[in-house]
Amino acid sequence: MTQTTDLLTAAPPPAARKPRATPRSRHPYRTALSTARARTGLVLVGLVVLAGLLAPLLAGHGPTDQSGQSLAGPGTPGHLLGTDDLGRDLLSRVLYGIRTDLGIIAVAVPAGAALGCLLALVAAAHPVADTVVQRVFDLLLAFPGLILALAVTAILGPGRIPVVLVIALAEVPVFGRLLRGGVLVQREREYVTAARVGGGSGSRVLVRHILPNAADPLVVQIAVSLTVAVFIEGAMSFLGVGVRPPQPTLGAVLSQSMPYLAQAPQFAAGPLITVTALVLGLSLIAEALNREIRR
Amino acid sequence: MTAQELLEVRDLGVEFTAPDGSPLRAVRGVSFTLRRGETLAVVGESGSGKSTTALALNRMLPGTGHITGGTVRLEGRDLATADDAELRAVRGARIGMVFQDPMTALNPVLTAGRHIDEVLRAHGNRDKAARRARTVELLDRVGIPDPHRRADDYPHQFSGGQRQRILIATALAAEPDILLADEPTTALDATVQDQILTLLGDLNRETGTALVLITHNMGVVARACERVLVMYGGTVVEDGPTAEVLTRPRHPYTAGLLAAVPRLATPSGTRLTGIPGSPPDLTLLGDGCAFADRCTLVEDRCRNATPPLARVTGDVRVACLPAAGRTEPLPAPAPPARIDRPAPGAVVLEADGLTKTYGGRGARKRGVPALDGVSLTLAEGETLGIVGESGSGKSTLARVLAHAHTADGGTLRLRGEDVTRPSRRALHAVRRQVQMVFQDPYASLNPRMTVGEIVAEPLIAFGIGDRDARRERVAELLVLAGLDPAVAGRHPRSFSGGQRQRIGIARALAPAPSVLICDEPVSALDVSVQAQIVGLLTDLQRDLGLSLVFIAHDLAVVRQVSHRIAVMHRGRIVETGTADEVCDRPRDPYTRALLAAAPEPVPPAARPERVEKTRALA
Amino acid sequence: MRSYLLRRLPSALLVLVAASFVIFTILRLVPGDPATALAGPDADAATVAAIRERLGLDAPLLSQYAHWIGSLLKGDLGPSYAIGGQTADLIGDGLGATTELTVAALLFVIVLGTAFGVLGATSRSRWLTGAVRVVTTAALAVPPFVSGVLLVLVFAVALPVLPPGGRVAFLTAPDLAAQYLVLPALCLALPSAAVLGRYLKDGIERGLAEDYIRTATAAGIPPRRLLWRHTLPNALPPVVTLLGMQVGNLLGGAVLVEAIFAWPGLGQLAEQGLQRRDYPVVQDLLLLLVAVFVLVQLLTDLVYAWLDPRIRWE
Repeated sequence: MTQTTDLLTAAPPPAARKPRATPRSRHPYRTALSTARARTGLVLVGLVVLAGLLAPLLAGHGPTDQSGQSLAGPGTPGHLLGTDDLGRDLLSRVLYGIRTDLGIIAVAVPAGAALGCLLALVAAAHPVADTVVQRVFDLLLAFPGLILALAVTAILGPGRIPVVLVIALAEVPVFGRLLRGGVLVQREREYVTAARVGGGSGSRVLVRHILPNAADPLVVQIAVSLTVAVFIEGAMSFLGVGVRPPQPTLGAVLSQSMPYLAQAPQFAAGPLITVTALVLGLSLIAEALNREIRR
Repeated sequence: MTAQELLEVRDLGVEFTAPDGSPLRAVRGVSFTLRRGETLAVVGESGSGKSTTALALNRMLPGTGHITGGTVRLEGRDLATADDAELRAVRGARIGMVFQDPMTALNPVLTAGRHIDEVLRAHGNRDKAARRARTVELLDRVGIPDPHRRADDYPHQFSGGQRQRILIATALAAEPDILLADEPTTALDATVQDQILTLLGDLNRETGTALVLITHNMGVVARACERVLVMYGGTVVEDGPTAEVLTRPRHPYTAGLLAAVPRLATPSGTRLTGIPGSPPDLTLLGDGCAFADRCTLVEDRCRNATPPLARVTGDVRVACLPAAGRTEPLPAPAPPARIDRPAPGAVVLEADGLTKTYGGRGARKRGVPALDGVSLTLAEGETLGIVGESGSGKSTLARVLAHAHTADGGTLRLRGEDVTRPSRRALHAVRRQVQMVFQDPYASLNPRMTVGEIVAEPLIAFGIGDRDARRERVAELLVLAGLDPAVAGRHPRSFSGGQRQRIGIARALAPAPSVLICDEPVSALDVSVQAQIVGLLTDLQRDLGLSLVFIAHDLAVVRQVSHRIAVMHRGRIVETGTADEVCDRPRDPYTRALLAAAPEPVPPAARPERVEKTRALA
Repeated sequence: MRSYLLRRLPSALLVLVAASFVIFTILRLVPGDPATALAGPDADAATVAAIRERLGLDAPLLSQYAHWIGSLLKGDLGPSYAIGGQTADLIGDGLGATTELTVAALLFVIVLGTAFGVLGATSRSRWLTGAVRVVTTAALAVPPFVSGVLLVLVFAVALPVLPPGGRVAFLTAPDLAAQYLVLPALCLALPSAAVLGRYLKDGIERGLAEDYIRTATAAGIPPRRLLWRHTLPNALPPVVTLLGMQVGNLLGGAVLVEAIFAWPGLGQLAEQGLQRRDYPVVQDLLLLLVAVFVLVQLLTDLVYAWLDPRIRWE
């Protein structure tokens, strides 16, 4: 709106408009990820992910092996973090728990995001499709997530699949609405008109011009959604409708430790620190990306 | 007349910190004085430091901006070192400010009256009824009809011109000694601009409030101010009475700027005069005259020492080393050159009774047609100028002609073939023929793509050439548009406005079209750069035999480049004719109003009708 | 404004109807037959068949659906299958408890969120903005079931000032009820308050950079007024939308918080109903929650329109 006149004012020209010494400008994501904030986040997430991937190498015990010594403190020989109420090695339960969690969120979030984006693209095609898709999003948002979780588990029985399904369903409207909004905004921009006048077909304009510019908030949202996914998994375990025991998940180990929080706080410490590190890392990355994109 | 010094600025310096940490010296060593009741224009192009100077006066610098040195004395009190409380007492009460864009400068959730009320309240008026009375009085004074009722309306219920009036009322509410207006009319149409300038002049005379008017428009300077300060590269290059500076510029930049302003009287087919090169990069400025690189009269000493602002005669001060010793007036600019181009040929594009109404979401928008039966023809090698104010439908017309939008009714023929509602395949063929250059060089380039990708995009879309052929063609197109082919790998954000417009032109030329629709291609550019882009377009027309539709709101530019002109008003063409005919002998009253409102960079004394006007007001 | 509401009403109704179909279908997909569950493991086929007939489960699905909607519209929710008592009473009790919890949580969200947002955006003390950052980050990084247990440990076990769980109806003894309410409401509110705080902080920071704030600053409006009267009213409409969405999160999160604090609300009822295949209770309860959410969205739209004169005057 003000861009025309913007040029003529002498309000400080942002450096972006000046020819910089660097001939090729860096991608904003790279700039974002090289900030101290994002680096801390990447290190935190990287450590947790690595620990999960290397679980079979790092853990001295199977995650379900019982040693007979329950609620042992940290530093007990053979059990670095101690044992849980059933005498299972906590370190190995946390490490394998990360593995299970990663397996769930790495499938559920992209699946939900993909489905949401697909619906948003359908909505972009035609006004009628738009109305239908928007009502679908409204419907999905209207169901309280955890009650939906209870219902889905009642149908499918406890296990990995319902957890993945619940997380994915929760993410569909989030990503769908974001992308729909982004496409609507970008579609009115002048460079899109220019691309159409330049002979670009509908699909080419969408893929080459609109989507790359509408995708920024989605990237931030992925980081946010991964943290939400960790919480949903934990809450479902806590409510007893998560992954079937004895398979460990971060949420399962954590909720299992809750009754012993007063008498054996070290039980909760391992999984809690891991969850916090993962979530904190992801939010730091999201925040750094968000700042760079908004500039 | 006892002139009294009100504001004295000495050696003001302002610096911004670029995101990479390097300093950017936006204002360097600026000194001037403002007398009580005086009208002073600060004129310059983008990056000249004129707005930054204005904002520094009451310390309103945005972001990382800070004053690095100098003093700003308001009746002896230095504002550059004043504390927050002191500044708050000055802002509004001693120095009122009006900003450029009336669309964003008013708070959307506050009523017009509340804006004024807040200022009165902030400066100590505790009586609610008195504030209300004063609010209505102020709105009435700035020309808001029915102020009692309108005081309770929200900004979105006013037109752009009315909003600017409300802003002026807000700025004057606490009766300041100085009114700082930063490009107050840039976002407005010429006729509204004229009204606002008249209002500012009247208020200055009535209340004795000194007016500092920041502008890029020499016409506005001539129209509204007694004295002018010309800025370039963060420094004042010339300071003197408007009549003197406009008729006898001492600084080569002032002279160049004046020569670059298109005059209404210049006949059709005349080249615009520009200043070669582009404004300086403030991060790279060292010693020496900032204008040296673009100056035709440059001497060795200009590059080594920063010229001081020195008095040459009477009231005129100039920052130019050679100017101090120069007794002759500056050499007159080269006489305007003719545009050499062949006469127009057969009709290429023909529109008949085009209509277009946007299906607005709000009830307000529905029903008002953007195009209401527009008919026109465009011949081979011809330039058709289309002039109109905002909302006249000229941009819609451009989009319909370029098939970015489809017309609701009427017919559009390309070389005799009906292309109003083409099939998908026919549309593709039409678009190869008809291309478009956009107004906004920032918004019309995809920020995610490199220049090479942007220019190659139509080649890929039309399936022209293979990878290597395309790369060659892109280089060729960039050269054609006056750019170094090596820039293909860079992103648009690292280019200036003029350079970006060249990229847009290269893109439009990619499919080798025969018709180019230019929608306000120079409206966003500085005058000194505008001539380069217009020159490029006319050269391309000559070399490639293009037919041009040239849309603008500035009649003077349109007259110079066009063979014929069509004047648009409220979705209709109210007058067409040869360019000279329309400008010299306008038939439609709207055309006459447009011509009368166009601000010309000629001092008031030289314009008889203006003298009459001021006399009538006095 | 009325036309604005009327335009939104059809889509809200559409969502409700679609939701009723989905709910009905979901429950029919749950394996296990309520009649078998009700009859007990030793019952013979005839008994089960009799129960099926009594509950109307032998009718075609479509007529079962019609019957459900029909009796809903008549206001007759009928008896529950398995939990015992009238469905309306069960849901009424649960609704009272859950409403109490979510409304209290919403108040916490608004108060804490506003405090986080305003302090984070405007405080000049690095220490204070740092503290706000740490608190909001922690509220988002610690899972609610952990923060709930931590709250209990600190305020009910270590410093026994508040009860660890349970509920006293608000209307019978407000002061005692408030004591029981604080911890679960706080636990439920924390993540949403952090989200709101960050959002508001962004909104204020963006608002302070607007042209009209520059105009107001140049006119000498004092900073405090600039924030509360000029910036905040513009930042509010999107915040209201966010708050409306957060109500959905609160209703969902209530299930978890009710489990932690033994709060006898709708979440507990849903869990019980699903376990015992009590169709009427779960059906009505889910539809009620969806209806509440849809209603809140409508209200949010209204408040949005009321806050933004550009829509109010359309």
